[in-house]
Amino acid sequence: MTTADFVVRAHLHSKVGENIADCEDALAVASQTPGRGLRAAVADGASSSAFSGYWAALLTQSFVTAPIRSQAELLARLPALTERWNAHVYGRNLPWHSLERATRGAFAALAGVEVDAGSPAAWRGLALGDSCVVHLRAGAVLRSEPIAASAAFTNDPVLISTDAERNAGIEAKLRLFGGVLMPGDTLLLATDALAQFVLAAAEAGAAGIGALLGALERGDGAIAAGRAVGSLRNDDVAAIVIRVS
Amino acid sequence: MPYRAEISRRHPGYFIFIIDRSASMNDQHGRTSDKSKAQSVADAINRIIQNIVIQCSKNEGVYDYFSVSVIGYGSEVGSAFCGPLAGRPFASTSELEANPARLEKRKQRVPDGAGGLVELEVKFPIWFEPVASGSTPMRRALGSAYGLADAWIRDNPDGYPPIVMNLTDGESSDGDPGEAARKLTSLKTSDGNVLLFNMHLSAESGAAVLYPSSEVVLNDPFARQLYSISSQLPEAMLQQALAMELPVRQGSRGFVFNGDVVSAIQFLEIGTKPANMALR
Repeated sequence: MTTADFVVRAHLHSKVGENIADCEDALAVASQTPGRGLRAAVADGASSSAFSGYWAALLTQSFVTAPIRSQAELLARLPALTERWNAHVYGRNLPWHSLERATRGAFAALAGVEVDAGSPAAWRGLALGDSCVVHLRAGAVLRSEPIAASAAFTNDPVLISTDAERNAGIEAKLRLFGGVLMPGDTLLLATDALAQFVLAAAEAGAAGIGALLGALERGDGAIAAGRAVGSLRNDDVAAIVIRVS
Repeated sequence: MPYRAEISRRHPGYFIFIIDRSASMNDQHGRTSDKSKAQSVADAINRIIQNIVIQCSKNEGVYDYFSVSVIGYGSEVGSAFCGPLAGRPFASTSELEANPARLEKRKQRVPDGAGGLVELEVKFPIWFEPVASGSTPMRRALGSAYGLADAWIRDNPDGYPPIVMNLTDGESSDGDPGEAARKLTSLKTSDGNVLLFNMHLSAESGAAVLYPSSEVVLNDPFARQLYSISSQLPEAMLQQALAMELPVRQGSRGFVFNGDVVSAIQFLEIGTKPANMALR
């Protein structure tokens, strides 16, 4: 069987003016041996909730350790993760405001993919909230989940919470999808600000998105450049670029 | 689009609270309440400041997303901070967090993650104690707010416009506050004009009125006067309020009669607010 080779580049940036330790986005890539598939996930902790960066990290690590392939698997996974979040948060002597905020729970968006090793490579994805998986081919967006247009991002998505009560009905918002990667294809996992920026670039034409993807694959110049001209919102960024070489 | 400026540590916002501390605030708040209006105002302002600090809470620290001033008006007009911040014209959110006058201990039940609840002891900070003496120099208080807002705007010309919140029983003793309010709300940054919200506490009972779009629903003449000087909610705030399922509509003003104003500070966008994170 022919196997696919992947070029993978990960980006994690805090907002301009803040430290990386303050970043509430998270990412994880499962280390695979050459010629094997891979798993990757990004998550975006809601800044209006407590210890959301830690919650985002728990979600991404959990996904790449054991992918979630159904609504039932998502719901079954959360209690153990909440227990770990509770132990992390309540196991310390918190100041009053942190404790008060913690009682409202943490919230995060999650987007993850698992990519098989074959060529062409089958892939499956999951997304809940406003972190996105974008499948690109030859400068065009083949698919973007769960949000397909730059104008469709809002400030109040439904997110995954540490509070079971707040998760009532979230399984209905979970998007499960997949496809096949051909040589040269790119899968981009990105939290909301970058996902919106990339979709806007794609809507503007193939030349812009091609240059942007190249920059993202080479390094972080695209993030700084986008922020400098104001078209990329000043928000935390977690992104993973997976290109089939 | 106005009222869209980023609120962050690099670009903090500014709240100015002006609180009525006149002798009339000793009156009962509503016919069925056992609280004085002064106590209701102290409770409201403590809860508002508490919620502002909580909004700025990040892990175990507090980010300076806001500066806050509190002007009291009664027998005198001036800074109303109690405790270590007494006399200060304004304080950052981290200074507020570090310097309450005292902390009360209260019990709170929180989710355990498995569908149950556990009881935690939480500390409730108190920055303001009820005070009620003297007359109601609202015009002077609005003038003080003008001075503070004007100075802040000079330093932050592109910032989110200052939000002034007046908590009162509505009977100004130094004349019609309309002109002072118009002067205050004529101040502006590149992102919009200063916003003036009013919370009116009345001895009259009856249903609370939240963010009305017409004075027709108000029977009290002082309520109508305060409604007339209240700013219209900007579109971005209106959308946030709608998402919070508050009874707002196009034309709603930042005016509350005998109701809860703590929700008003949540109208500001500081990052993502999950749709499934209802206020508690």
